[in-house]
This record gives sequence, structure tokens and C-alpha cells, in this order.
Amino acid sequence: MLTVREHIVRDIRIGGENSLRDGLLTVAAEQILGLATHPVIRSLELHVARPGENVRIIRILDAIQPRAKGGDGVVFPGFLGPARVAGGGETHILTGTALLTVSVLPRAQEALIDMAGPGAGICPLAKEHLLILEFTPVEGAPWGEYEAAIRLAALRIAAHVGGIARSAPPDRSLCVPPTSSAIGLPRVGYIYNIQAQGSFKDTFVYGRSARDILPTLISAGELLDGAVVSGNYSHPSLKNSTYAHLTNPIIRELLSRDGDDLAFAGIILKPEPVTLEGKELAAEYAANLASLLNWQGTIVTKEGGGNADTDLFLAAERCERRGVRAVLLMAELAGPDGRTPPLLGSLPEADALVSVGNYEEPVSVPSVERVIGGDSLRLADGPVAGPLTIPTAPIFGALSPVGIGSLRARAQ
Amino acid sequence: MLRVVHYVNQFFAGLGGEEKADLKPEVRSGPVGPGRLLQSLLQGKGEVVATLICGDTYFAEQPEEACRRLADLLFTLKADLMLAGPAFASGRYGLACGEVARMALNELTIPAVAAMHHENPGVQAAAAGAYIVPCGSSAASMKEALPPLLALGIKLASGSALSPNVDGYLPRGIRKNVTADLPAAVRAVNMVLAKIAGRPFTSEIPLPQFDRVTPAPPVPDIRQATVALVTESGLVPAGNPDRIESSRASHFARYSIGGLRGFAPGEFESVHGGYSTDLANADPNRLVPLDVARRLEEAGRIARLYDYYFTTVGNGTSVQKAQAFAREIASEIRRSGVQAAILTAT
Repeated sequence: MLTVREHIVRDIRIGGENSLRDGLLTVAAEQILGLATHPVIRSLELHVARPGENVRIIRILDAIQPRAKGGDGVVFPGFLGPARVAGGGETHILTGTALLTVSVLPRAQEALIDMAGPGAGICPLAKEHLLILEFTPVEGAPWGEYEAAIRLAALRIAAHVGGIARSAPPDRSLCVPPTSSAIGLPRVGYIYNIQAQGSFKDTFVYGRSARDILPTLISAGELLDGAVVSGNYSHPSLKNSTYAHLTNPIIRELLSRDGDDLAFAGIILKPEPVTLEGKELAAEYAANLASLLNWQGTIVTKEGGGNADTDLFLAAERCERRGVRAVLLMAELAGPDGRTPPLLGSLPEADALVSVGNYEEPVSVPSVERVIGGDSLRLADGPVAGPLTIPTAPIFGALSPVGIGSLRARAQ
Repeated sequence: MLRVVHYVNQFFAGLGGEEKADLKPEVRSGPVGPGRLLQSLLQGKGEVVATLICGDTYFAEQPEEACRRLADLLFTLKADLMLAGPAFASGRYGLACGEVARMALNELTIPAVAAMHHENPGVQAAAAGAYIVPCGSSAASMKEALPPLLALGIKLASGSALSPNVDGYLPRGIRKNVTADLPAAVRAVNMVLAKIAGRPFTSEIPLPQFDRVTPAPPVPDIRQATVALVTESGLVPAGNPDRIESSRASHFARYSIGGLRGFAPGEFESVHGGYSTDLANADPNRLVPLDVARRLEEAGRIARLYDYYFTTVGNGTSVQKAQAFAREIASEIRRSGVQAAILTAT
């Protein structure tokens, strides 16, 4: 059983002390900078951006919700401490805030967050008080080493900031059981696809790459403690950032309805292999686990575009063949004008799709006063602070495959 | 006062039946046939200023020409709203109504609505963006069919936001991002519980209807066959003389391969935007196997290579466009006595 102590952050300030009082989070810059010393990191600059501010953030690599253990144990096990099964004891979680990792990284697809205006309306991170970690690499640093260094630094900082909440009274507490005790209700599980193609398109489970794993069971508490961390820098709106893993709305919904109208029958973490044979095995294996656990139905989510759709459809096919009814969350590729058939493919069993929006629909955003993260854009011509018309795709989290966004597409 | 233009076929215009079905597009002043009922339903909110008429056979046999002529006529009428039909279950009339409504809206930006039975083949225009309200299958339901047609037309002309669920028209193929009423997680869990309980549920994304192409029977004797080369790989003569787009191609082209023993690097290149073309440009025969096909021809394993190859770019190209290209290419090679084609894709 995990006890979650939730602390709601209503404002954030960089100052000389660490404190959380009446929703005001103050962080001491010196200590944070000290957590980012590494031979390949040249500098770390801190910024704050609040909801509604006239500011644009670019080159976003990841987002993390701060948290810390109340007693023994570590958050982000495998990174910040030994890889031991998490999800017990007490965890302090800061909501209303997120850390953003921002840096140049060659293979990263450009991401953008506007904190005000039409871009903010569709970006789930624009609702959060953001502490932005802008990293710069040492010249000539190997990119793989640099990526690992800033990922680790950001996790350390997320745990440090989370630790500030330990001495503050929580706004809410919640118990998260490892398994459901509900009986006589439909058994609904969750098949949670994660991208695991190796460097720069990877996901870490207990600190290890998920590239070669078979689908496996994991509990909600482990995810809340940071057992799953993103190392994926493609598709800013279609990836599962660490923030998305930590706040996964599918899991929250299944937990909150457990015992009411369903029994939350478990989470199967499933990689998205790069070969068809690998995809078929992963789908088959996950469906078999679901069937062994007597699931009657499952939500299936994906990560990434294109080939990840295959993982979604195959999972639905194999589950349905075993009598496990499947519902899939899906972003659409309906073209800029919304006229293209929205799916790349399908299987007859994948007949229940929930839309999280059209990837290609253009969004026009006005110019901004301030830009954090760089002085040029690759995704559009013109000045970085200028008005832009861009597809929905680069807006961080806007089409989140696990549903942290608010969009859906509808036939008009 | 809304200026309404109404479209009907020769039959509803009172000009005659099948014997008049080849009537060319024409315009009459004021309401004709069911337009008179529309006029009375307008109750001072507007006026049916003109009626466009076209014979069903004329429209069905040359839809593009018919549409162009009707567009020219409609353009001069300064309409605020175009209404077409109702076509009920009449197939050719339905096709015309759907196309005319699509043309008015998409090409002339005049608000336009058609009415027809939901099984009328003309409803396919909805996927191309036309507003179509369903109605009964026969003219006996004329009185019930007109008010929803007019109501949607008036609302559309007013610029109000519309949705198929609220306003009763057939979903158009156009997908727009909107803020969801409920989070995706809530909708997904509701849907899976419905599925488990055997209750009805509706997928939020329409399931694609992919064509199943039945393979043609084998060529009886390939040694007697003329073979054509067709590709979507974007292989064109250097400089791309017909300017085929690197994605979402609007056309295809054909180029002579008479006398060529292969595609020489530098003389041919790929303009495809969907893959790295370095290896293809180093040896364009990797895209279209002209070198090997020529050797087969010389060895007598095929009778002859067709004198031209056909090329376009398949990257992001719509299914409708691709089907139109295919029809034209197939029609030419058939006429030229080609019995087999090698299609290469990237």
C-alpha cells in the first residue's frame, strides 16, 4: 500500500531558501545547481514560467512532476538508489507544478509550450507552474552521455524539490493499494505501451532500458514512485513524458472507479518492439497475461506515431481473441484540413477507439514577450518569439496517448 | 433577406422524365416545383431567387462539365444559400445534388445543403465536405423532407457552429480538434464497460473501409506479353520536368524509355519526400527495374517492354487521387495492348 501525500503548488519562486508555505514553493538556486555537476554539463540555468504568462518555452526534452519518499526508499528507483520494488510507504507529490528539461539535443524533435493564448489552451503543461532547467552541454560532449547526465540531474532535482514538501502539511492524502479487493465487478485492466527503440527513443523501467523486455505487470504505486522514466525525445505531443507516466490519467481513472463500477485488475507494461515479429510476440504475451489475470476488458494506450499504431491494433486483436474487450486511445492523422482518412491501418478487432485529437491540424499562436530555451526555431520560419502557425504535433503533450491533453477530433 | 438558389433535376422541374434526362444545365428565375414549397416555408426570411436545373443523365455522364457549367450559372446569381433536392432514393439525382452542394461550398464558398435518403449513393459527397440531410426514400415524404433541409441551410448561412449530432446532417469527412467534454480516460473506461456489458458503443474514430483488391488472374504466357513499368517512387528525369510534388502528388507523368537499357544516375532522380533518396539516385534501377526488365526482353522471357513508364509520388497522396491516377494509367496501357504491369513502391 502506498500513501500519497499531495501538496498543491499555487506559485513558485527561486530564492535563497527551500520552503512550501500556503502553496508558495520557494527553491534555493544554489542547491539545485549543485545537483547538476557533471563533466559533460557546461551550465544549468533556472527559469520560472507560470500559467497565463506571456512566455514561450522551446527545446523541451522532458517534464517531471516533483516527488519524494516520506521515509525510507527512493523515488525513481534504479536512478536515485538501488532498483528495489517501489510503491510502498509514503510519497509526497507536488501537483500544480512540473520541472521541464530544456536543451539542444540533435535527435530531439522540437517541442513548444506557450503559457498563454491558444497554444496554452491545448497544452496540459501550460496549466502547471513550471520550473525550467535549461542545460548546456560542454563542447564536444558525446550526445548519449550528455542525455544520460541531464536526465539523471533532472530526476535528482525533481526528488530534491519534492523533498521540500516533506515538512509541509499535505492538502490531500490518498491510499493506493497494490491490487484491487473489489469483487463482483467487471475486471478492467490497462495495457500500457511504451516506446523502447534504444537511445533517444527509450523508456526506463527501474533504471533499465525497456528495449528487450517482455510485457510485465507493474502496480500503480510503482509508477507513482517513478519506476518508469522517459528517455524518448521524438513526437513531443505523442510521447509519454516522465510527467505523463507519473500522472497517467488512465490509471487514476481506474483507481478512482475501483470498487464502484469496476475492479481495477492490473497494469501490463508493454514495449513497442521495432520488428513485426517482436510486435506480435509482445501483443500475444500481453494478451495472454491479461487472460491469465481474468481480465474482461482493457484500455490500451500507445506511444509515438506510425509503427506504434501496429502495437495498438495487434494488442486489441490478441486481447479480443481471448475474450478481453479492448478500447484504444488514438491520435488521428487526418491531415491539416481534416479530410484524410484518420487511421494508417486497422484490424477488425480494433473497433473501439477514443480520439485524442488530430496530429496535423494547424494551430496559430500569437507573438510572445519572452522565450525560454533558445533563440531559433527549426519547426517554422521566422523569429522565435513571433506569431506562428504550426501543426498540433509539436505542442508538448497536446495529443498525449495516455490522455493528459484535452483534445479530441470530431467529424464536422 | 436570404437569396436562395435551388437545384432540381428535369423531373422535379416539371420538364419531363427519362426522355428529358440529357437536359443541359440551365437557370430559371424564381422557384420551380418543390422550390415553391421552400418559398412558402421561408416565410419572409428569404427568397428563392432562381432554380438551377440539369438532366440526370447529362450530369451522370459528364459530372465535371456539368458542375463547371452549374458553377458558372450559380456564380452570377449572388446566392447566400444553395439548396439541392431532395433527391430521395434516386441515385443519379442524388449524385448530382451531393456534387452540386459540394461544389457550391468548396469552390464558390456558398453555404449549401443537399437532401437525400441515407442510402442514396450521392451521400458519398459528405465525405468530401458536403452538408447532406437525410430524408425519406420517395417523393411522398416531400413535406417532411423540406423543413430540415431549409433549417440547416439557414443555420449554415448564419455562420453558426454546426455539429452532425445536433443539426442532423450526415457526418462529413472533415475532422476538427475540439476540447472534449470529458477526459479521454473517462470516455475510454465508459466505453470498455459498455463493451464488456454488451451495451452499444460508438468508436470516436470511424473505422477505415479499405478496398480489397482482387488480384488479376495470372498472365497466361508472359513470353507473349507486353509489360509496363509503373511506380509511386517519384523517379523522374533529372530536373523533374512535370514538377511532380514530393508529397501529396496532384498528378502522375509518363516518360519514354524507348532505347534505354537502364536508368542512368544523374539522368533520372527521385523526387519522393518520404525516404532518403541517396541510394535510389546512385542507381535509379533500384526504384524501377528497367535494367533487369530490358535483359528479360532481350532474352525473350517477356515479349516487349512498353515504351513509357508511369510515375508519381505516393507519399501522403490521397486514396482518391491514387485511384484517379490508376484509372488513367490502366486505361492507357489497356488501349496499347499491355498485358502485365510491374508496380514498384517505396
